[in-house]
Amino acid sequence: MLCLNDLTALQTQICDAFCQHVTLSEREGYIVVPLPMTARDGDGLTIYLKRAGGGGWRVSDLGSTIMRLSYDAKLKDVLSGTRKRLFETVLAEAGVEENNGELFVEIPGDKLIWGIFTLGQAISRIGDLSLWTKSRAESTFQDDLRSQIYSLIDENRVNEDYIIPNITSAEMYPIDFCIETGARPLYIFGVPNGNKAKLATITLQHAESHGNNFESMIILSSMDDVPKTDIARLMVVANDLVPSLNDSATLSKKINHRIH
Amino acid sequence: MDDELIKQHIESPKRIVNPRARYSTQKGAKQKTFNVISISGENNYSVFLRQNLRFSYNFSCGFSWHSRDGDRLVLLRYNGSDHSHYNPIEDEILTAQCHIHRATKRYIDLGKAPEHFAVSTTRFSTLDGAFHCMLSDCNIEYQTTANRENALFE
Repeated sequence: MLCLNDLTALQTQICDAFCQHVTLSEREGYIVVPLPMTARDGDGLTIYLKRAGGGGWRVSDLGSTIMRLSYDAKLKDVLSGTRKRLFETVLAEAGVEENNGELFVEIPGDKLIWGIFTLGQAISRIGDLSLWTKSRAESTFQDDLRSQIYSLIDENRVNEDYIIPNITSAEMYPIDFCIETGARPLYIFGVPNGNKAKLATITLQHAESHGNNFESMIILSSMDDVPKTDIARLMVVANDLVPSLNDSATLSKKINHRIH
Repeated sequence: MDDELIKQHIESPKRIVNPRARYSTQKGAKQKTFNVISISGENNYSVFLRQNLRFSYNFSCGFSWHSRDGDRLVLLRYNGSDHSHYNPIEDEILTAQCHIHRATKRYIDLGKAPEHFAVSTTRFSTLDGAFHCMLSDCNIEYQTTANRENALFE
C-alpha cells in the first residue's frame, strides 16, 4: 500500500506528464488544445476553444472529426442507417451538439476541463464509426434479431434456416426463422438491406406458388436501410412488417398475436 | 501487402481519369475525389482531397489502392499541421507539423491502421501543395485544360 508521500509524488508525476503533452497555442482566432489521445491512425485529437457568452466556453472540434470519417467512406453512407443511430446515440449520451459537421459543447467557465474531456471522449467514439462497415452492422443485426426472437418465443418452437418440406428446390429458398404457432407456421425474415429484401420476396413467392400454407413477417433493420421499392414489393407478399428491430414493443406485440 | 509491393503501387506511372472533378462542400469541409488508373491499366486507385473550411490548417490528401474485390487501402496520406501524430513502434511524436502517412508492413502486421506510420515534412503547408507533392511522389499525370493550354505556348 502506498504511503501519502508516494501518492503525492505519483499525482505530481501524472499531472506534470499530462501538462507536458497539452501545450496550448492560438491560431485563426481559436485556442488550440492538443489532447493526449490519438485516433486509430495515430493522429492526435485536437480541441478548439472560443469564448461563449456569460463567461463560458465553446469547446469544439471545428468539424475535423466528421471530415476524418469522410476519408474512409462517403459521408452519406457513414451517417445513415445503423451508423447514424450510433452517431446520434453517442452525441446524446455525451450531451454534444452537432452543427453542419461541427461537434461542440458550450459550458460555463468553471466546467472547462469537463467540457474538454466530454468532447474528447465523444470524438474518440465517433471516430470508431468507420470500423462499423456495412457488413459488420448487418452481422450485428442478425445476432440482435436472433436474440430478440429467442427472448419472445420458446426455443422449442423456433426453427432457424428452415427448409420447407415437399417443395421443389426448397434448399435454395431457406426461411430465416420458422415459428410453430399452434396454427399456420410463421415465417420470419430479417431484412437489413435491399438484397435480402429481394431474396425474401422471391422466397415467399416461391412458397406461395407451391401452395404452402403459412403466415409471414418481415423485420427490417430500419426503413432507411432498405430501398422503398424493395419494401413495397415485400409488403405485397408478406402478411406483416416490423419497420425497425429497435421497436421491440411492436415486434413483441405482433409475434405474440400469432402464438397460440 | 509488403513494403516492396506498396512501393511499386506508389511509384508506378498513373493518370487521373476524371481531371475535371469538382469540389463539393459537405458538413463544413470542401471535398473532391479523383479516380486514378495505372498506365498499364492493371490497377485502380483514387485520390481524395479534404479541406476544413473552418480551420485552414486542417486538410488531408490521400492516395488509395482499390482491389478487384472492392477493398480499399490507403497507401499515402498528406496531412496538415492542425494535429500531432504518434508513431508507437518508433515511439516518436510529431508535434503540430505537416506530415505524410504511409502504409507499411510492420504496422499492418501489428494490426494497426495500415497507414499509421507518418513522417513530418516541410514540403507543403496547404492542401494544394500537398496535392502536388502527391502527384509527384505517386507518379500521377494530371492534365487539366489549363495545363494543356499552357503547354501549347511553351
